[in-house]
Amino acid sequence: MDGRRIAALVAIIVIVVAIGVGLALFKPWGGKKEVVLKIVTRLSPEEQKEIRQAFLSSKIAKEYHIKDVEFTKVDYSLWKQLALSGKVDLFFIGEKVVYDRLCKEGAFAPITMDKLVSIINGLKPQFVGRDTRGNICWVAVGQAVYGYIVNNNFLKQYNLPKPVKWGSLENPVYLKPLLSHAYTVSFPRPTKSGTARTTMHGILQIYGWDDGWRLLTVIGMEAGIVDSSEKARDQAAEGIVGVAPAYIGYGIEAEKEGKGAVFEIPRGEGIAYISPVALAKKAPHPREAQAFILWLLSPDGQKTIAKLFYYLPVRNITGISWVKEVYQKMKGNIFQYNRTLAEKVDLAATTYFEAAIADSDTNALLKEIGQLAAQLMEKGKLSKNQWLRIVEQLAPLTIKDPWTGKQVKFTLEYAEKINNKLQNNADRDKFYNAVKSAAINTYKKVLEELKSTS
Amino acid sequence: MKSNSVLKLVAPVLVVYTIGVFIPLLALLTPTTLARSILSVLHEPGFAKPTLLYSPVTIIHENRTRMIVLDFPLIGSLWLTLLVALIVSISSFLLAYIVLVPAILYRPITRISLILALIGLLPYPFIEAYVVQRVFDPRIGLVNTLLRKLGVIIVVKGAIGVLIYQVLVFTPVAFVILLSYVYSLPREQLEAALQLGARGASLARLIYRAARPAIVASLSLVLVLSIDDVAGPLVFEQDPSARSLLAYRAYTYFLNSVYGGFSYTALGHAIVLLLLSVLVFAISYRSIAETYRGITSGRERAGLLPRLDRGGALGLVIVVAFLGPSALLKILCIVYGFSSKWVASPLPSPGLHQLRLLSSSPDILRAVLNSFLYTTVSIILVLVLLSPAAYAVARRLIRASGLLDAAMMSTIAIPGIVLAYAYYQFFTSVVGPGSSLSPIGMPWLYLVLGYVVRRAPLYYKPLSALVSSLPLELEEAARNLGASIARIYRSIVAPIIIKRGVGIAAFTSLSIASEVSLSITIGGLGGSSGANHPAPLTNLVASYISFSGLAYAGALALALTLLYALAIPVTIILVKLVSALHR
Repeated sequence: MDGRRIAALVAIIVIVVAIGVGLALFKPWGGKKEVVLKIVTRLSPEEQKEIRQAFLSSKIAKEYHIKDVEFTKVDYSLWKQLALSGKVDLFFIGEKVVYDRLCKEGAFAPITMDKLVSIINGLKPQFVGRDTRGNICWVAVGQAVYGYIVNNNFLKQYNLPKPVKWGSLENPVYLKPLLSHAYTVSFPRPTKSGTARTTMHGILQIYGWDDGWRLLTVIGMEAGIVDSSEKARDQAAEGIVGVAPAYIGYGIEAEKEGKGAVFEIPRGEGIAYISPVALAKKAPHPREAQAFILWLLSPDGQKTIAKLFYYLPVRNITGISWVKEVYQKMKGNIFQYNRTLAEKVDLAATTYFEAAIADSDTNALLKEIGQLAAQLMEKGKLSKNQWLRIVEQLAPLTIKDPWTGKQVKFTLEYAEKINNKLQNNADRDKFYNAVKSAAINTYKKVLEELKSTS
Repeated sequence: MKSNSVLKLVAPVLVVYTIGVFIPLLALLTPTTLARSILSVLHEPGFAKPTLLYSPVTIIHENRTRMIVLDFPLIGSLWLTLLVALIVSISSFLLAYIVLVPAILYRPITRISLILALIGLLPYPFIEAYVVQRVFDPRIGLVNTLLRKLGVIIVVKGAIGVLIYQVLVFTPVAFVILLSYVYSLPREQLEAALQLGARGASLARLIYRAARPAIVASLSLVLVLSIDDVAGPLVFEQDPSARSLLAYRAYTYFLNSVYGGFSYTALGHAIVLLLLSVLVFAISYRSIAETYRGITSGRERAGLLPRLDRGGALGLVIVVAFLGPSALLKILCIVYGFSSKWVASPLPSPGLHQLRLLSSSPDILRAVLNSFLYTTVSIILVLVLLSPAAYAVARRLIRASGLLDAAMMSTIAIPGIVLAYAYYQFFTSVVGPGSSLSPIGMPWLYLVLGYVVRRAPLYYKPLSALVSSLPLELEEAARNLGASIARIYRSIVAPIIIKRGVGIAAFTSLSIASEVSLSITIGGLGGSSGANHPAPLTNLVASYISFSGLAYAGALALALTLLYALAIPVTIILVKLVSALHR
């Protein structure tokens, strides 16, 4: 090798090493005694940033030599593998049903730190998840509520009344924006958003299975379908739509945009939920990870999450009476949500929603029905009662059972029966196609009926 | 002896492709899975049958304003995807072709059109689609703010929004292909035509006849880019027609986000995308090869007439009108990085808010550096591995050079999401989920591997065309003097082609830095927050845009600009160094 080639080789190595060193110096990887916690979360990047800053400046972070926390936002489907990978310390925020399932599947390590255990033992039992041996599997660090964001500017623009509960949206007046190719609602897909999934189950429980599906179908008709609750929040905050499901934190964020958005709890339909945290089965830093939970449950941590996310504390903490007052006002508006029931039909209900309501073909047909109905009502050719009879035909659908070939109505019992079967990829696809096919046929029939009215 | 020597040239790249493409894909796409996926797609209602037909243009009269609503009917996912891709491909070609005539004729217009096209080629994944959506917003968008004064509003919905976005993004691609090819033709032909009085339509006809391979190449390349695009449908997803496009369905329905497991139907959609891409490339393969040979001939790229005349002024207007919007889109992305906010207003307001936001976001800054390192390592591997393979194929040094060529090009047709999922499944099962070598423990390893194979065709094909354009005499003389193939490559061919391919390398590097599919899947497994995470920049772009709306879009645009400003000069330096290494 001549000198020139050696020089070139050295220069290439120098460039790569220089960038590598630059990366290392940007935030030192050195200081082996200091710990970087890896946390899997459902928090948005902005929220991650805020909680990270608050924690790193805390006494507990310094005491346990925690230098940084790194958040990863990935689908729930990867959580179990991550818990067992030895690369992740904690799981933070997300749905209780997911934590319960992962606890059952042995993805979490028990919380054992003395200080922490004594705090947890003082909490209400509903804030703690235990495995079959009674070990602490997860602990709730805050409570919040799902409601919806209403944009008054949008409602004013289309001369719409303010919805007082989810059921208000069944009123055909909310179809009017479809005539201008706008949507009253922004609704995320329940397979992508916990907010949408919980709201969907909540509506099914509040209104009953059959009427719940009818209401959800009409909401889908009035809605632009998106893939995250953050997108729905932004659309409601800017007044692109009039209503979007949201948890209180996002609702208040939307209000701050100052474009006419307000957070509301639908009358008697607020869904209270808890936000858990759990230790990964093979957490590389179990001690420090539990220190993070200790901070979340400390007065400092509870105040921080109350301030950042409008979470009601799970402990009796002084100095955050303002957040308690916010929730006090909602007290009569909270619905007792049955999580066990939701879990029993979760896959069946979400797949049905995706196929019958959110799918591009079925959703387009629903919008066409909604648009035509709005036109007919404007001309006085369709009454509200006639409309409600049409809605009755739309849901729940009778489908051709993909396993027996028989016609079956999508009842609660049927959903419970097939729910576990849908964990199989091929079966889920078959069910999706069966629902979609039934939806297309039914919606086309309804559309023809409506056309004949005009 | 000869075969050993040739093997040295192609073996490394074959090993990389085997590990980085063929084995993971074969592990995922078993015959049973393939059969199930295709059957599942064929049984899906709405895949190939229309479900709802209506006019794509609706005119509504509202408060003295005429509202023109544009949306595609639901004609079946397959047909809608093809229709959008065909319209995008033909529109991009036509716009580029109209611009081509003045760009060839007048030297000042050549420069201006090239500058506009190069700006238009800068990739701002996701952000550019959001900017298009914002610019066409019926209430606050720039276009409608201007049109409202004329009593008209245009409402762009679903797949029509995707179409407009793609035409704006892909027109510069079509233009660069056409222009480069036309300049590779003997200049005398054009000069003779000019002397015989050819202008305007007659010159356009002449160019059409002479540049047929480039026309086919630009049409087919844009067609494939359109059907594979995920960012457009994701941004316009609230309307059903955007969600009907195959790329959207393949991407968002692929994994069950709660319970895991993939959808056979979604995999089927990805296979259909793959088959469509392969079909398009197979049909236009000869033209693409011929175009690449022309593009890399290294002729001078300057217009025939040194000054503008009256016709030139009209040409300038045409260039600005047809290429300007593409450049304007990217300029808006860049300007957005140096602005305050862009909420409910036609244009971003001036200010340093985004700069402050970026400087206070260590996670984004970290991602810039991560992407810079991954791009640097990937481009070194691309230069070292693909240059010898390009030589071996171009000179047909091995018997199965056609097969090797097809293998090298195969990754251009493989949807990124399929490769990402194949990587995750295969490598996690091989090394174990707890291993530090797993995609969770070392995502950057798989990112670099994936970047190299996914972007390889962008470098490999033009480079092999460059080899074909080199005279054979030197190589023959060396062979007569007893030099081995490897030695000939190292001492004669490599220093020339690697150095001449600097533009190709820079474009490949830009494309690696802005890669989306692997970055948003594998790239996020090791975390994406704080100041030590290993995620690439496009992962954070997708994540912030999805979960924080437009609040961070300007800062992210600025971060992308910063990344390109770092990656391109370093790539140019690396090209020089790798070329010197071969002397």
